[in-house]
Amino acid sequence: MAEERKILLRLLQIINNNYTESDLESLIMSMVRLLLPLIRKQSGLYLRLAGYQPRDIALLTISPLFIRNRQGRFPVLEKLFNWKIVEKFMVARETDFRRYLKNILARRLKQTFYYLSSEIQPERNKIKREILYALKKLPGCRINRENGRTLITIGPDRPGKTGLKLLTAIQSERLLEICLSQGLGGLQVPKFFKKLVEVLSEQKVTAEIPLNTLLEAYIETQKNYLLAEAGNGLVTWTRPETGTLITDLNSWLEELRARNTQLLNRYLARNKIDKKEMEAYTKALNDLLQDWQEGGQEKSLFTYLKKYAPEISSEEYRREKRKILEYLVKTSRDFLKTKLHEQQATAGGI
Amino acid sequence: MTDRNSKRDADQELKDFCSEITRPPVFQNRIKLFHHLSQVSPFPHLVGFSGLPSYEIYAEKRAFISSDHSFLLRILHDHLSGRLEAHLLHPLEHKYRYAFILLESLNREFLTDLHGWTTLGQIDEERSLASVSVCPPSAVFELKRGQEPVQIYAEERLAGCQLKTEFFSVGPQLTLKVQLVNLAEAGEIKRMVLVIDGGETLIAVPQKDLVFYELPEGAQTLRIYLYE
Repeated sequence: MAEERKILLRLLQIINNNYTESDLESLIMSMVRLLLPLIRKQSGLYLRLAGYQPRDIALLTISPLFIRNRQGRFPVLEKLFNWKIVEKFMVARETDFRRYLKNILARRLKQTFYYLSSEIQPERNKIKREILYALKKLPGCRINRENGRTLITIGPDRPGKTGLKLLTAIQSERLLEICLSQGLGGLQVPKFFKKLVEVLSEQKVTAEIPLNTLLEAYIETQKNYLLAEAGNGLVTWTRPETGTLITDLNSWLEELRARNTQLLNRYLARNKIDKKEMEAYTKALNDLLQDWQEGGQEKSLFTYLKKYAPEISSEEYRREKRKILEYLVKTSRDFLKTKLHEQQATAGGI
Repeated sequence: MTDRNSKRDADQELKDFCSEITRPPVFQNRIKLFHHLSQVSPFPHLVGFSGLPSYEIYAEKRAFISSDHSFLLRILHDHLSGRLEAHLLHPLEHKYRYAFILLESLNREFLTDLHGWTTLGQIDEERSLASVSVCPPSAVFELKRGQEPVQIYAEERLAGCQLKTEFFSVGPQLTLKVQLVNLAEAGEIKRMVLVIDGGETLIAVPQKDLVFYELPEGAQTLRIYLYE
């Protein structure tokens, strides 16, 4: 029986309230399976950078359909697939139902990206603007806008000339490899691209790629640099597809946040800070951790703290607060280093 | 052969992953209840205008009690509908309001209402009530439109936990995004319940500490209950 037919029958069981847990499980799995190719097609590295894997997005898209009420009914699912609709498709062709289902899932997927946009978009947009600004000033770079797409040509001129290789969007992983192997991590945007032009000229390679691909290469390089630096250079580059490191990083960060809260509680108990200050420190540290995940520290520690404690002056910060914040940052960095060492040791990397 | 095995493994992994939504939760904050053998307490007088005295409508079947004697769960049989009802009692209101009653032998959970009341339905009494637990909310937040969520109750473990909320309108539909922030180490929220204007109740399983609720029109005051 076709997958769509099975879905339809399971929906009917749910509407009739005579489903089992395994019916629900199969229905969710079928929907996730239908969604995964759509997600893979639409999303790039940026989902993983935000700590999401395609299946997370699939489940996040589907889970609102399976929110129950106290009577054990599924209001959203039953609104989308009510009696009338299911009955109509029971006698219609399977292709019609497939189209209807795909439309619904695609629409909901779009909504999920919209709901998650605050987590996965703003930092990227900021970096994208910086990249464009740097590229405009850099000799050896050309920016072409065609049909709403921004295409960047970076490297020596005239790629068609003998001896020059052309790198296109399809070979974007090769570009990332060049960035990582040439040690471009840790460089600010202008220096990063200046160095990249030099490296590409040396290697006689010209890259002709969309701005988004360039952005992904930049972010991934910075992220790898951060992890490698924290591990004292013991971390060798692995393909970004491996989701384990991101999963580990997320759990480490959660652990780290809890440790920081504990430390701050101790300061609070000793009357070194008050509750309001504790909250400001917690939020500032959370922002810093987020920035570490997204390429590195962006501003001074004072600026991180001032965002949540605007009344604080720079003198006051230097006199009383800096010690505390620097200590928390140092312990956080040490914590991540230790975790990376442990992971390397377990994986036989040392 | 290896390909088939790896496909099977991938399928199993996906199945395990998807079953998070349907799998009965293993609540960390679960409190085991024991059969209470003493004299059953008087019948409730919440029977409306049926015209029948309460004892003719309800028969108290069993009572359960927690080891510290703080929770009392009364199982009543509704003669009119033939269903079993459960009434949870505790001196503190946040312990009996919107608490999960877990019937472990059935692998099912039931959520009480504002009065600690829930309908168990037409279930086999002997088998279903062999092992009963209760899971009260670990934290409660109140949310009003245009305001930040306010924590109105939290157990010690979740004292630092915060909610980040955002409203989205997709056409006429209003969606509420709820994200858990500052969850303590090793803390995991197994269920998140949204009570809309003290009435409609939506039970969600957070994914990546996130839940998207689709709200009915005109929703004003929202309460969010977290269960570990």
